[in-house]
Amino acid sequence: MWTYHGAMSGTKIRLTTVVMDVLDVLTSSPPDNPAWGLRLCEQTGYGTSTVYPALDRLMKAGWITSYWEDPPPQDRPRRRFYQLTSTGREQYAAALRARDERRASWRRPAPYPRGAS
Amino acid sequence: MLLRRAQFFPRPGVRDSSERRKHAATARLFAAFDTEITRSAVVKRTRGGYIVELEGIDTALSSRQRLSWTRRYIVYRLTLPIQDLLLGRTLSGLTDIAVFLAGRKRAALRYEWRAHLAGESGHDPADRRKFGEALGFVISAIRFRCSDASDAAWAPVDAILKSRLLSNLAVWLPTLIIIDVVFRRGGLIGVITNAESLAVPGGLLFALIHLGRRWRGVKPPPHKPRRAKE
Repeated sequence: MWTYHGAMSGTKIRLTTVVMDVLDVLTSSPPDNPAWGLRLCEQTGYGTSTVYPALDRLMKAGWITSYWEDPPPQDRPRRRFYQLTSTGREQYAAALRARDERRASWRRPAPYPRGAS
Repeated sequence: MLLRRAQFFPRPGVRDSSERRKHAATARLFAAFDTEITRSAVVKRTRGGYIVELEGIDTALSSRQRLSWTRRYIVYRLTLPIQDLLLGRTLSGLTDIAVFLAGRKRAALRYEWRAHLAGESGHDPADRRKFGEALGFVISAIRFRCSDASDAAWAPVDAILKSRLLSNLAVWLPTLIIIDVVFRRGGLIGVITNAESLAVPGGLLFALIHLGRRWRGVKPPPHKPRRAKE
């Protein structure tokens, strides 16, 4: 887990495994079949007590936005869909890049000192 | 549950008989079974009749029926419909509690969580998994509130960290107060001899401000360029 300070929103997001899994599902959701609460729970494998607080945090940070199903269906309650904002998409990509670079720097072997026997 | 159900034999005639019509209201909540009450059954007398425990299942027996070990009875057993009913009410109640706990600004969660409980089909039956999900809503609501409280608690700290003036005050004011106390007791000599000790709280506060800025992701406004003397 590490923290990423949003460059634009100035809000701190703790990129936990849960948050990243939720963001991965949101990233992979097609626009014609957007993700909603139940689907996020099913696809991430987490319970409602984990997914909804993560969504709330992401909403506060401005990384995701939500909208209601329109038009509302007659035979069932309408759903609230979630999608990544452009800010969220950029910052998540930046956070992943930063993570990869950090990991690469850890794995990179130290340069062999000159003149050492 | 299915095995237990299979141990009872619904009487074929019950469905269309006058008996069924007579107990139509009850039959919505209870299922009628024709069975034999053995001596091993645990029988409890209640106001409405008898509750007979048959192999771990509670069944209801009307008080009009005289209990005898030698005949077969139509018993009314609490089956899935009433369990569904109770569970459905429990789910609805838990969701309402969760929405209440989440607060007014999250009132829309009521509709979102109802849609969640309704499932993909929109008409999913209530089951134990749904009960777990409804409990999860309550936990979510508590976590929302904790998050709100945490944000509210951090707000003044963030205000100090964001402002250079307030940050400087937070460092210098306690330090100057301590210096003043030492000065009143030991004079200038006391301040000079305790200079190292006096620098410690100031340094700690300075470090705390910087750590706080880093932890909270707060950046103070940039320094204003000094005006050139005319």
